[in-house]
Amino acid sequence: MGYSSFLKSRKELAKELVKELLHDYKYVSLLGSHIEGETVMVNKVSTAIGSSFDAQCGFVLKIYNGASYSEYSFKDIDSNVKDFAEKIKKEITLSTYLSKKMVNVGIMEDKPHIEKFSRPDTGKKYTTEELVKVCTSLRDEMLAGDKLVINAVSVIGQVIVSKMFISEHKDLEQYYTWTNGYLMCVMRDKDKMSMERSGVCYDNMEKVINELPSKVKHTIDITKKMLNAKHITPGEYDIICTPSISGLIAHEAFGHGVEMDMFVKNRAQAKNFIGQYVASPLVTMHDGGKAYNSVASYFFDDDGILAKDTVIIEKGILKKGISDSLSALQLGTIPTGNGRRESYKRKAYSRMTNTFFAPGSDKLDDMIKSIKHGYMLFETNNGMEDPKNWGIQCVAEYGIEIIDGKLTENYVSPVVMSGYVPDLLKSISMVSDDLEVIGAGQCGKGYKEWVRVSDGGPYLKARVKLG
Amino acid sequence: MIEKIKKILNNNKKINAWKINYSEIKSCELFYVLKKLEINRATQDVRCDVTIYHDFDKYRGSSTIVIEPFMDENEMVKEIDKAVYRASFVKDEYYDIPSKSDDEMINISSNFSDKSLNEWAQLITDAVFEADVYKNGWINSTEIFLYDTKNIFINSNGVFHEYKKYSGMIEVIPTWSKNKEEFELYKNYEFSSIDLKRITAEVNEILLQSRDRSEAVKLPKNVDAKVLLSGRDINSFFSYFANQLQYATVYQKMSMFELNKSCQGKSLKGDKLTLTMSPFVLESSSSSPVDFDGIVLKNEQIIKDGICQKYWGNQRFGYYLKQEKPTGMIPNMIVDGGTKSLSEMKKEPYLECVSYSGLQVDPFTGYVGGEVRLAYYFDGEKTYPVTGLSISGDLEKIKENMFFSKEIISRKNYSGPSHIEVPCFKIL
Repeated sequence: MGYSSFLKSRKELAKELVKELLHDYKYVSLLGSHIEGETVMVNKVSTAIGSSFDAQCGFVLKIYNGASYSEYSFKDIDSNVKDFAEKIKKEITLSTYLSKKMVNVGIMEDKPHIEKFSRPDTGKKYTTEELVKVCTSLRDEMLAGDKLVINAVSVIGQVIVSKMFISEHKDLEQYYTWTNGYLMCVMRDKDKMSMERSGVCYDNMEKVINELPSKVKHTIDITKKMLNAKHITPGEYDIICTPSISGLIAHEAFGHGVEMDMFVKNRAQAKNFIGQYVASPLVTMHDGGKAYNSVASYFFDDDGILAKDTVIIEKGILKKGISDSLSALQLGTIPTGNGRRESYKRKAYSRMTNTFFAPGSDKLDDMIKSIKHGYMLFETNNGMEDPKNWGIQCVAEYGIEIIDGKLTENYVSPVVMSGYVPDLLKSISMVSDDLEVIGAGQCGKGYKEWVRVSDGGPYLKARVKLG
Repeated sequence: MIEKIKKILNNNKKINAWKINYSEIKSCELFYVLKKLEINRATQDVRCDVTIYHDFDKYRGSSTIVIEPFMDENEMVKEIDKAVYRASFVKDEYYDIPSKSDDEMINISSNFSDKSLNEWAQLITDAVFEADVYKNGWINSTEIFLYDTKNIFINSNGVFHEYKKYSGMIEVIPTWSKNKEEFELYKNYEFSSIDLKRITAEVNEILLQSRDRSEAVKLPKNVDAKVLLSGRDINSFFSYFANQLQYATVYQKMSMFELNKSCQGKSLKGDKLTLTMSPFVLESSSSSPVDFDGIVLKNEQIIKDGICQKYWGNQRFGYYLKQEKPTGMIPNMIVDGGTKSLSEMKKEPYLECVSYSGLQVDPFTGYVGGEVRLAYYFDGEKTYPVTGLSISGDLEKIKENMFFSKEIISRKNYSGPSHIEVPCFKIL
C-alpha cells in the first residue's frame, strides 16, 4: 500500500479543473479523499470482513463566489474539464434571492506550498486470514474466560488515508494509517446483563496485535464486576479521573467550547474568556493534529492548512481556540489546522483532533491517599457539550469507591458527572505525572458530522456532582 | 455499471449468491449564521455496495465491498475477487437470501418532487425565518439539508426494486437574551415530505423554549414528582423494547423478553404498550419500502397490550430463528396512545422534560439517563421552567408503572404518545 493510485491518476485533471474554475472565481480549492482499509470483526455467531467504516473516495470543491463560499461534492472528475466546470457552476449558483443573503467574507489566503507527507505503517503486514485468526482466538479466549460470558466481540480495523489538496498555489499530498483493536465482552446472570469494552490503538498494526491479548482478562473481570455494580448515591464527591475520563472532560468540557466556528456564531462562552482564568493553575490543555501521535494526527487539514499543536489553556488561563479556515477568515485570526470534514460529502467545521491535558507532578498513589470518601472513574461512555452555557454531562462506564485513601471493591455504574465547566476545571487540585492519549473515539458536532478523535491526559483529582 | 457488475458476479464460480445496493444521491445544503448565508453546498454522489456470498463446507461466508463508478471492468473484477477471498474466512452458519415475492412495496408519498431541491431550500429558508420575530430571541444558526435519492436493489434470486427516497433535515439553534446573558437550545427536525407551516411552528416552539430556558431556575432539592418525558429523544425510550425483540438479540440470547409473555412485568399498573414496527411514518426521514436485503417491508405489530407478539429483524437472523418470512429491518416505530390525556397527566405535581443534551437508553440493560436542559416543574400550585438537572432510571423497574399520553406526535422514526409519565425516575 501507499498513497492512493486513484488520487495520483486524477492529479492533473484536478489541477486543470481548479485552473478552469479560476477563470470565473477568485479562489478555488479541491480536496480529494481516498480512505481505504479493512475491518475484521468476529463475535460468537458472526464474522464480518469488509472495508473500513471510514472508507470513502471523492472530491469537494470550495469556491469563493464573490461574497462567501460555495461547495460542490462529487465522485470523480470528468475528463471533459470545460463542460464539467460549466456543470459545477450551474450546481452551485444560487437564486438571486438567496445570493443576496450571502454574508460577505474575504478571500482565503493561498500561500504557495508544494509538499508530500507520509506516515506509513512500518510494522509487520498481516493477511486477512491472519487477522481473522487473531480475532477468533481473542473471541474464544473471552468466551472461555467465564461461564457467564454469552457473547464476545473482537475487532481489528485499519484506515489508510490518502488526501490531496490543490489550489492555485498549493499542491499537497498526505498519506498515513491508523489501526484500532477492540474487545467487548457480554455477560448474563439470570436477568442481569453487563457489557464492557477495551481497546488498543497505534499507527502500527503489529503493536495493536501484540498488545490486544493483554486486555482480555481485564475486559472479562470488569464485565463481571459490572454485573453486580450498584448505582451511585447522587451527591458531590472528590474524584480521580483516569486518563480516559480526563480526556472526556478535556473534550466535552472545554474542547467543543473553543471550536471557533462557535465564536463566529457567538455560541461559545469561551470567546469572552480569552486571557482569563478558566481552570486551576495546574491545568494546561492541548489540541492539534501535531500535538500527539494518535488517531487524529494528520499533516494538513481538509482546508489545506498544516496541522499544529495549539495550547488552549496554559496554567489555567484560556489562551486561544481552534479553527477551520472560514471561521478564522471571519474572525481575523490565523487558522489552526482544525478544519475537518466527516467526508468529502460534508462541510468542514472547526473540529478537535487530539485533545488532552498536559501531565503534572503528582503521584497517583498520593492522589488516592488524599481522598477520604470519593470515587475513581473509569472508561468513557459518552458526553455532551454545552459551549454556550458551559453545562457539562460526562458519563463514565464505572467508578470504584475510595474510602480513607484506599480503593475498595465497591463498583458503581454508570456514573454521570454534571455541573458547570469552570467549577469543574477550577476544582482540579492534583495532576499526575502520567500521560495517556486514547485514540478510540468518534466525535459529533451537535448530533452529526462524525470524525475520529483522540483524547486523554494524566490522572486528575477534582470535585464534581455525580449521579 | 450495474449490468457490468452483474455480469462479473454471475461469471464468478465461487460466488453462490449476491446482492447490489445502488444509490444516486443529490443534495442541496444551506448554512446560515443568523439570517446570513455563510455557505451553500451541492452534492452529486453515487454509492454501490456489492455483497457476495460464498458457500464452503457447511458455512456461508459473505463480504461487502464498494464498487466505484470510475472503476473499469478489470478493477471491478479485482475488487470482487477480494470480496470472495475475504468471504472464504467467514464461517457463518448457512442462511438464505430473500427470493422474489408478490409483496407490494408501499409507495412513500412525498411532495419533494413538486419542486427542485433549490426551490424548496429557498421556501424552507423563508419558513424558518418566519418564526424569527422576537425582540429578545433569535435564530443563531440554521442548517438545511435536502436529499433526493434514487435507489436500486438487485439480488441473485431475481429480486429487483427501484424506488425514490426524499429526506430533509433542519438544524436550528435558537438563542434568547435576558439580562445580558444568552441561553440556547438545539432543534433537529427531520422529514420526508415538506410542510412549510409545520417548519415555522417547530422553529417557533424551540424559540419559545429558549425563552423559557432563559427564565429557568434550579429545581428545588428533594423534589418528589412524577416525570413526564417528551421532546426529540422520546423515540429512544421505546427502542429498548423494539431491540429486545430483534432476531439478532434473541438468537444471541441477549433478550430478556419472551413471546406471548408480558414485557412489562407481572403486576402491570400503568398503560399497556402496543408497538408496531412500520416502514412508513409520516415525516420520518428513515422511511423506506425495502430493507438492505431487499425484503419488502410492511407493518409488524411486535407488542400488543404489553404482550410480546412477534420477533422482527433482518433476513439472516430470521432464518436462524426459523422464521418462515423474516420481516426485514423496519425503520420506524408506531406506539399506540395511552389512557391519559396530557391535561390529566398534569393534574398532580410533575416535572415535564422537554430538552435534553441526550436521553441515553442502554439497549440491553434498559438504563435510562440524561442531562435535562429544559423542563417545566409543577409544584401543585404553579408551573415554572427549570434547568440544570439530570434524570435517571431503570426501564426494567419502571415499565410496570408508566402511562402514555393520548396525544400523538410524529417525530424522527417515531409516531406515538407525545408524553410518557414515569413515576419513579431519580431526579438529580
